[in-house]
Amino acid sequence: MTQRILVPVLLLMGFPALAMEILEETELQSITGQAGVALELGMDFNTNPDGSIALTDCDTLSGPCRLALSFANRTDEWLVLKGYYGNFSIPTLNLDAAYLSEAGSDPSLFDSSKFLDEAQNCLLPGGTCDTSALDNMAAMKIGLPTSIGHYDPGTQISSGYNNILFAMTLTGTAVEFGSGPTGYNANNNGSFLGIRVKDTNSAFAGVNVQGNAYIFGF
Amino acid sequence: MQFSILGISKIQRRCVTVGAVLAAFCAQNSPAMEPMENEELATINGQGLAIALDDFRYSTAPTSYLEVVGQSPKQDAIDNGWHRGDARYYGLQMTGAGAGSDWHGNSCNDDLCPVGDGHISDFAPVYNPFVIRVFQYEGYDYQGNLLQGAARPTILETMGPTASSEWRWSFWGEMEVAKGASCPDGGGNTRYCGLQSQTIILGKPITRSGDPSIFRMMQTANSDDPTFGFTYQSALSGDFRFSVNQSSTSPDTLQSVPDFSDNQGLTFRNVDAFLPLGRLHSQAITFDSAGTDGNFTISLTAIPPIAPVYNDFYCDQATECSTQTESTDYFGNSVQAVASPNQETHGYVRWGDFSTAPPTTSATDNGIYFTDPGGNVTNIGVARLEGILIQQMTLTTQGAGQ
Repeated sequence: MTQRILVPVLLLMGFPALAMEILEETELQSITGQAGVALELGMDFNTNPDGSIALTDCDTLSGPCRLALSFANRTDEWLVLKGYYGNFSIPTLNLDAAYLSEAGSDPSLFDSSKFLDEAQNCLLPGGTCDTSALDNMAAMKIGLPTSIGHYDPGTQISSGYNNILFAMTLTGTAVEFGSGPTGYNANNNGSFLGIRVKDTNSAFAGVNVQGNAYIFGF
Repeated sequence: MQFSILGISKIQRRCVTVGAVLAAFCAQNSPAMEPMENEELATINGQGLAIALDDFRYSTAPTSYLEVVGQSPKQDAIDNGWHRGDARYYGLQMTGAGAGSDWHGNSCNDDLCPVGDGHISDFAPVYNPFVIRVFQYEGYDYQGNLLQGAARPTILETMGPTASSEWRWSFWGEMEVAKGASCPDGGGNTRYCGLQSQTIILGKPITRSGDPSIFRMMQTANSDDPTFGFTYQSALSGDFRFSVNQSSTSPDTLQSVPDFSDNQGLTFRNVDAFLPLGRLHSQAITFDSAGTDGNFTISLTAIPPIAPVYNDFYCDQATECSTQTESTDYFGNSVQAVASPNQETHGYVRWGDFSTAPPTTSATDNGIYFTDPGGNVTNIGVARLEGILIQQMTLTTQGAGQ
């Protein structure tokens, strides 16, 4: 596994040259300006970043590019995904913190049963299940930048679908019966199913995802 | 529970570029970094993880697709007329209700055109989010033991919203038969062998009575086969349209985005569907091999032929199905019926709203109707299936081992 982490894009945008000073925790807590963290996520599975396979026999049923599932009480039976390769990337992923009131959800959609334990006790802070309790809860907020997609019937090309780029090929799938922890390397049974994800004009399918996800616990 | 995923893939994680990009980058939706008090965190019980999706919109490029790749059938299947089949599903959309457009970007007036212009304001509201949690439920195991208290198995469940905004779900697809073959086009020429279509749903994954979609994973409580299993409660309400007719200027070739007619198709209005697949802890969907030739089965396991279990399925655990009630039917006849059929295990599909008068032959607000390319409507009324309970079901793949 190769993992490259490129260092943050540091603040090269013309900040005045000041001496580096130690910030107190209270100063950090009082920050109220624009904030957040932006990530670029890219994963290549048995491929190069351009979508080409990293090993010459990755696109064969007998090659080493495999993913296998073994279920309990199914000794030496492997559901093997053969000739498996692809790419997944999110060019920009915004992370932030927020209070749930920010979402502006419709209060008429509230369902208190979602927040009860087995004994029907409310799990929200303060022990009262209502929209006010939820409004005051903090959450991790995830969003992607605005992106407008367009399809041109003249050229038959899509453009602007850039939030998520995804490509996957599964050359074949079959159950293999191999013993031991590497039994999934067996290749006696061919395939019953193959899957491919791409675009008619590109190696990568394009997706736009708008809005915000709020992730919170109770 | 043993559930392992193993891979020998050469996995490259590329460019995890951590941009500590401040200010302007998040300006469109990020008001401030909020200081959190320790007390706020201390009030979290940790019994549930919630995910809310606000102003959500998911839009795949109309040219991007998922392809299920076929293969040549065995000779004995060829001899009986079977062909290779490839299917491609393009442009999956989850968009807002209201004004919309077709796959070419042309606006259309029908509320069942495929792509909504706007977002879904409350796809999963913060007041009714997706909830992921571990939980324990009482129930009979496969051997007929009632599991209570500390004996209740732990399951991992994901529960969808019980109320949300309406939204559009759509894709277009093509089925290619006998890859590369040519078929008559009806005009004296040939064309591809297959069919292009679009599928559109305007609604929500919640029944009209508020039952949500629920997915549960567990180790089956079956001493004869303790394996990975899951149950799924499928819920859906809304309108459905399936259409195939294309405009005269549509490309009508494989892997070209069709220009479907705006209104043509088969439409179902006011659909309400509830289908529980599995029951805690005596029926689940499990995986297994099919013989030794590499094929695979997905099974909804059989309801055990044990009285406490099947009584629970049919009449809930506290009641035996032999308990009957007597009432009078529509015609004044005396009838007997099961006293308390278990509504949790019995599904239904209703194509149309039965609480109103049956639709007329030209109605487009209720029931099942066909619309021709000229806009002429033929409504065939409403229909429903009630009391769906699947005793056992198995899907077996074919084609491996060649």
